[in-house]
Formats: sequence, structure tokens, C-alpha cells
Amino acid sequence: VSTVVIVDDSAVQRRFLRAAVEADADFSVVGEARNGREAVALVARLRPTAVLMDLDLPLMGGIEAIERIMSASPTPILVYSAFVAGSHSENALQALAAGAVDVLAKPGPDDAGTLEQHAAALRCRLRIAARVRVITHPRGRLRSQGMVGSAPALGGGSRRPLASTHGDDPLDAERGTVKLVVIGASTGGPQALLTVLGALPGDLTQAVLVVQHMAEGFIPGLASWLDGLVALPVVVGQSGKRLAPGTVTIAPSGGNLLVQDDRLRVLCVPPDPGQFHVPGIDATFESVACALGPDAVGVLLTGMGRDGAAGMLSLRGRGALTLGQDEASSAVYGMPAAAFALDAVVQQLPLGEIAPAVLAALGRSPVLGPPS
Amino acid sequence: VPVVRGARTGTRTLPDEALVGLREAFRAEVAERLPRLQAVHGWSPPHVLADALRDAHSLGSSAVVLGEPEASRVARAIESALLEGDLTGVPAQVEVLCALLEAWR
Repeated sequence: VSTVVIVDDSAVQRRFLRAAVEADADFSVVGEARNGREAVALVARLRPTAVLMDLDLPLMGGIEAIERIMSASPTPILVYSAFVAGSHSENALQALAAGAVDVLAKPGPDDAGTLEQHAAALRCRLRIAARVRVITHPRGRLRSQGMVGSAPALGGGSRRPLASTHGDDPLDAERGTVKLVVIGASTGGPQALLTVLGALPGDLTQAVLVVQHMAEGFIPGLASWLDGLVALPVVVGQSGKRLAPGTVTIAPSGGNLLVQDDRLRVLCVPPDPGQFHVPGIDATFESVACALGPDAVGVLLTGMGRDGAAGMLSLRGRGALTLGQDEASSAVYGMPAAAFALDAVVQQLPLGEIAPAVLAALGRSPVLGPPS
Repeated sequence: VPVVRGARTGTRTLPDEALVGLREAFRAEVAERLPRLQAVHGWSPPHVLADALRDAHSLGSSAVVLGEPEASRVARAIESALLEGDLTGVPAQVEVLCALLEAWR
């Protein structure tokens, strides 16, 4: 049985969540907190399997509570809040950056679906979140040391070159002139993206394209959030435009983004019938494999399922360097595992070594941020 | 007694004791939070407005759970007005909310 702590200042919400969660016999609600301070103390005392948390909390807000929990007693946290949808989507990204595993919006008055359907979705997401292995979150650790982990601390700071890569490293293989780094991510992706993109220098001359599984409406918030934290500008892709060098382009939600040619023009197309993950990573990776072949680097980060695995195989088959995130550093080792099983991954690496490997492939010296 | 419409639709229903508990909790929340919203006026101090914002937000979310979408819409409108600092229409909106939630008072 997975034990759950519920955090919400509304008694109505706490009762609803308890009923919804305990409708599944695999869950047991072991505690309820009404504010962030209570949540931090309760999680430390009860050490539940997972936490279900609102963001708008009195005394201590949800974001700070997440940081403190992930610093002191790391626990998978599913954020459940009305402040994460639509114009509030940046809150969702902040929560993920603070260490939350996933975010689910509370139903609004105009949402389709019944309350029971919503409760079922909530249980499904909680079941997934409860399985995620979490570690002490760096931002919480920095905060506890008096070094508040803001954007510059994560992505910039004093930079010094690493030792160059070894001559016999597979990353040193002869490759074409890389024009594009394409990255796919799903569950746990925003944090992983922050780590990878935050380690890329602002004067990068290649284009970077990111496909992150994300519900409709959240992509602009993800782009805006990353734009404030990493050295490279981050924008949302538009059909008919070209991917700009030195810019991170996020594939928009609602369809698949395809790279049409080696001039990096992109086209947004509707998802395939029955396509589960939108935007799709496979579709983008396969288009990049066709358009650029060895002039691309493919990276597949943490995520559930197997989207991206076939695309990685296409990339590798066309001579592109392909990097997969390893199991130990993945929030969910699903997509990278599927790619690895297909022998689509040239090198599987811990999250922190992916950006240096990308830079080595681009002929650049990796850079380091401050120690964490 | 108001019916928890949302909770009774779908393939499964929440347990009866949960529905009773939800109704009791919402009644208590209405009793606690509506008067604070009624007290808001153009020269309310910041801490009163901060509490009112939380009250409107909570009522908006809870009303959905209790199958009161119109009350939720009005509560969200009040929340938006408070966030924007435009209090001119708030008292009238609160009166509408009171009427919509009369059965719970």
C-alpha cells in the first residue's frame, strides 16, 4: 500500500482528495496538512510514499514547501492546484523546478468530464508519481546552505573548462558539421531540460530543438520559464519558420513539429490518429534524421513509455550521435530504456554529463556551473 | 439538501459517507468564507484583501466539487477582480455568490 499525505488549506478539497485517493485500495491517506509548514513537518515525520499538494497555501506557500521537502525528506510530490492552468502555467514549471514530480490542474467550472473521471485521472497520476525515485533536490540543498538556487546559480556562475574528452571516446567519432541538437523528454523532463540547457553556453552557434510531452497550454509557460533560467533564448516553434542558431525552440503543443530540410525550416502537422503523446518525439526525431542525418545530435531524456526510441534509431541509422539519459539519473527510465534496448543510443550518460557530451560533439569545451 | 451533482455522475460514485462529509465541509467553508468576502470594500486593508483572495479561490475550487459551477464561475470572477485590484464590482458579485450558495448557508 502506498501512503499519501494530502496538503490543502480547504477542508472540502482535503475530503474530496481523501475519498478520491482511497477509492483505490492500493492507497492509504496517512496525514493531512493545511499549510506549507505543516506539510514539511508531516512529511518528515510520516515519510509517506507520495504527497498530493496544493500550491496556494497559507503561512508557507507550496513552492517553498516543495523545496523544503525535497531538501530534507525527498518524496514524490504531485501538485494539485488551480494555479497551474492557463495563465498560471508558469507556476507549474516553478513547482517542477522545485522538485515536484508532476502537476495536475484542479477541475474548473467549465471543464469537461465528471468529478469521478477526474478522480480516476488523479489516482492514475498519483500512481505514476508514487513510483518515481526522487533524490535530494539541488535547489533545496543550495537554499539550506544559504545559496538560494536561482537561475544564475544553476546555469551560470563562475565557469571553468573541463578537461577535454578522451581520444578513444565514441563521441570523438568523425561526424559532419552539426547544425542541430534535438532533445526529447517526458515525465521529469522540465527539470532535466533545465540541467542540460542550463549547461549550454549563450554563444552556441547551433540550433536546439526540444520536444517535451506536455498538455495543451503549458508549452508557452515552459518556454518562458526556461528562457528566464538558461543563457540561450528559448522560444516556441512556429510552422513555416526556421530554427534559429543559438536559440532553443520548443515544439508547440497540439501536433508534431517536423524539420523539413537542412535549412531547418519546420512544419507543424496534426498528430497521427491514435497518437498518445503530443507533441510526438518520434515524429520530430525521424524528420531530423531525414533532413540532417549526421549533422544532428539526438538526446533522449527521462520519460515514461517509448516515444522517441524509434526516432533515435533513425537518427543513429543516419549517422547522428545519439545520447540517452541513464537509469540512475532518470525520474522515469522508460523512453531512454526503450531506445537503449533498440541499440539506438550511442552513449548512455548521467544527466549531468549530457551537456558536456553534446558540447564535445559540437567541438566546444564544456563549462561548469557552481558546485552543488 | 443540495445534491453533489458532479460526484454522482460517472461510472463510479464516491462513497456516501464521503459525500456527506463533503457537504458538511462545504457548508462550513461557506459559513466561514462568505462573510469575509461580504466585508470587502474599496478601502479594505491589504490583509483583508489577501484573506478575501484566498476565500474566493477556495470557494471557486470547492464549488466545482460540490456541483455548483455557476457559483464557481462567480467566485473565480471575484478572485480575478481582487487580483487586478479592481474592487468596484466586487460587492455586487459577492451578493450574486451569496444568492447562488443560499442553499448551503
